[in-house]
Amino acid sequence: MDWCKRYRWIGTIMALILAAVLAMTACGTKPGEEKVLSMYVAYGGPDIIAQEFEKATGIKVEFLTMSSGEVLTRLLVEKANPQTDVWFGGGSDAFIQAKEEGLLMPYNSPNAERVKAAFRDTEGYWTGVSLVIVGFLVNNDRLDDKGLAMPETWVDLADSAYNGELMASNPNTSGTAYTTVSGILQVMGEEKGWEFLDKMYANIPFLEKTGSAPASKALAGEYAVGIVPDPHNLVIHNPDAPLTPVFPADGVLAWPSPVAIISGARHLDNAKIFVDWCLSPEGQNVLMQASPRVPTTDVETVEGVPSLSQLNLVAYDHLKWGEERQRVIEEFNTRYPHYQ
Amino acid sequence: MKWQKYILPLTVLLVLLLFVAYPTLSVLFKSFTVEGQLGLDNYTAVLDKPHLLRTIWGSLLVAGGAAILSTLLGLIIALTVFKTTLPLRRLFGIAAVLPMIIPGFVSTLAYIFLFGRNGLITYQLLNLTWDVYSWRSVLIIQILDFTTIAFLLISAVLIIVGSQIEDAARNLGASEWEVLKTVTIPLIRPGLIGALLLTFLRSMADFGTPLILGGSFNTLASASYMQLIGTYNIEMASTLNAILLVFSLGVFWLYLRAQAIGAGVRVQLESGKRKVLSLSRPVKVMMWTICVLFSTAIFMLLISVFLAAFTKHIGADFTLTLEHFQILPQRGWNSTINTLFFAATTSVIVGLLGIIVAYLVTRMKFRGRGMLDLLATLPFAIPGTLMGVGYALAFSRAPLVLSGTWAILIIVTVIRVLPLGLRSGVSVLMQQDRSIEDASANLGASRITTFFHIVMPLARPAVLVSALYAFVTTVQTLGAIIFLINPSIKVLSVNVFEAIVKGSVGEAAALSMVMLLLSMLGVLAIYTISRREVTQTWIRRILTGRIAN
Repeated sequence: MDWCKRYRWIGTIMALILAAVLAMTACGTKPGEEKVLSMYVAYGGPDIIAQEFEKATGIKVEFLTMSSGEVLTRLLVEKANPQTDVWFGGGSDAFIQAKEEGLLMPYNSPNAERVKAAFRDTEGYWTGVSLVIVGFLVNNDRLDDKGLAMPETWVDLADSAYNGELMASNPNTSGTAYTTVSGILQVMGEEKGWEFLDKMYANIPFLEKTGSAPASKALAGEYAVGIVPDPHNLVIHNPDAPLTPVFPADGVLAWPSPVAIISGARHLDNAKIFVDWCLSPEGQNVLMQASPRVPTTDVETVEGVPSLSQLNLVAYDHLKWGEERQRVIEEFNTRYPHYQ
Repeated sequence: MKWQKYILPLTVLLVLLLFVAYPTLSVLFKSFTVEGQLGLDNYTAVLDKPHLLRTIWGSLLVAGGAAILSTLLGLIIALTVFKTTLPLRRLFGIAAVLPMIIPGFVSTLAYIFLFGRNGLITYQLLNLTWDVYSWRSVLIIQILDFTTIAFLLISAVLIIVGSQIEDAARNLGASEWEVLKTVTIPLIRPGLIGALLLTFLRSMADFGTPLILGGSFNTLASASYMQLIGTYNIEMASTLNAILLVFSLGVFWLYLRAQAIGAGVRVQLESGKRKVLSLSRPVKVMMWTICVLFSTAIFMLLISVFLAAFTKHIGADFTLTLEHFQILPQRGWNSTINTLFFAATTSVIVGLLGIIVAYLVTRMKFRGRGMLDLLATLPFAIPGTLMGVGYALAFSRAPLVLSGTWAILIIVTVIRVLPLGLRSGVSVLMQQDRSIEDASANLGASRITTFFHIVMPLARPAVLVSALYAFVTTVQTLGAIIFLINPSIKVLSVNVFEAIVKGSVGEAAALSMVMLLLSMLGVLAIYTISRREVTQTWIRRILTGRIAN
């Protein structure tokens, strides 16, 4: 009987722990204050953006950095109880899927006019705040070491001299790689495009799973050339590394990095203010400072970032290649089964 | 009043059902749906793929290899540290625990810096060209990483083994090698099979290493991760994960069989001192060499972290600088405090809960005991990302809404580390003879008194080990919590991830240094607390409710 009584102690301890944990619940969620905005971010320098936005509007931003795929997954699984107001940055392909899943809310910002129609959703579900461009990141030391010439164009990469020194990601799992493959098919036409790709992929020993990985390989001097998103970004953030960004002269591929409001957002007004601000000249300037990317509006670029007019940008057909994804990927896997 | 005996096991079982089974099933359920319709289409689609067999085979081989080799390595280091007087053994002990506090991102970066295609040692020093991106690198990094788990589990049991039985064997004419083979090893057997199980499960669930170092090599976990994050296909990710779980469950079953076979061996509790094994010279030389090699590798990784954090650009410009640390005042402080709170909380809970569950599993007889054991071990076999998705699915809707709170972060982290707490507790309790507990009961002590006055003090190494592991893992945890954390809560691991997204290696390394220091601080704190008798009685008083009145 004695120990029956004593058992309660364990019960009490457990109850106390549970109570403590539950009490912290209250600390975690702040009451619905007016001047707060919550967002999931797949964008560089979110701290700077949050700081400047608060200065401009008095609205405090609480953000969480994730990869684009993680944001989409998280939004999907917490659809029943949305935890955030805004999704900022990532690949447009993920935003297109989010729109289909009913995760986003349309908002036509008056400032969206400043963005070219190709870089925003026709119904206003998302608007591109900047562009992610596909280019080459070249490690100068490795290039010299191997006695290779600086590649200037896509066609250069088909040269067998680059055999074993070229790195890229896998279109099965990376948006960068799928944009590369489908963009080349668009520019060169299907037949010639595959012919070229056959030669280019013959130079690549294996494919990375994520789009950003080839960049870190070039940064570490493991491969001379990487096909990467935003090659200038790593150069700016690692000024002491021997790197050169290359924007291929025969066609730069790009996709917009959008902002969108989450369906069921708790701070809807603040979210709208944020979208307006992102697309305004002031906001665009801040974004440029936070993350050096090619802008979707006519804002001036910082040093090291090319402006739209300097690039031979391909008018990439997102809708068409989005629909044909399965066919292209199947063809890719049949042609290059060793990458599977 | 017989039923009251079942209150505790029942409570624990319910908690585990709620926080292990429910979220896991929530995410596994997705594998049976195709665009909202129930069906097995995902499985037929997966089984159709020709490379699936290769992926499964690859996962099993690497996991098996990592489990066997890291357990062996952990055993050798533990024996050297605790059972010999070889020089540098304290250093080996430190090296065995270090991988735990080195953040994964950093160790892979350092590995590539040293052994990559442009590696300091492989390319610049030896001018080798080897295929660094392959299953070999995955295996090497996993062994280095998991040896800590094996070392901790084995040490926890080894420390308790007194030398009386060993002496008895010696007196009967056994050689030192025979003593080791027939007495010491069988006595620490629960620790060994526990280590094999956990390292195998951990390797199966590890998606990060194959992702970064695997090249074209895929495991079930990395394939599942890429389905989720790369192609946004949660159904397929869940399907691959279900296949992974089938194999992990199979191994768990093997573990239970192995444990049952060895259940006869028990140790008398001894107050006697541990004695060294006087092994033959070649054996000692071999053990020592292995320890030196392992420690060298670990310290080289550690030095690389310092290089990355304190030089301009690792690999290219070795000018010393502090500029990467400028990120700290902007981003670091708030996160550091949060991380500290977070880690301290989980380590206390895991330390206690682990031994309680272990006690239930080894000492009490009730229906559902195997289920309890399984549920508390399973989380080690589930990749962090999938666990996070499961929690987000399960707890963002009625009946229990926890998303966005601190509570869910703590619960998911506790659950993910609990397997180690449980296994170390089980191995210690399995090894111990029950006679003292029986004596205590015969003298009229309640079960609870026995638990706190006999079991807890004896199981102290196990509690300590799991608290340490929990603290350090929590500091670094990211995979699961990224789907659960509220944007208003900042923790260090998310900051490191931000720096990586931004592409700044230096800042990521600088933040990792803070994580490293924090982990060391935690390790030291827990170690100090556990050594001081005063604090111990203080803790015991709190636990038994006898606060000085």
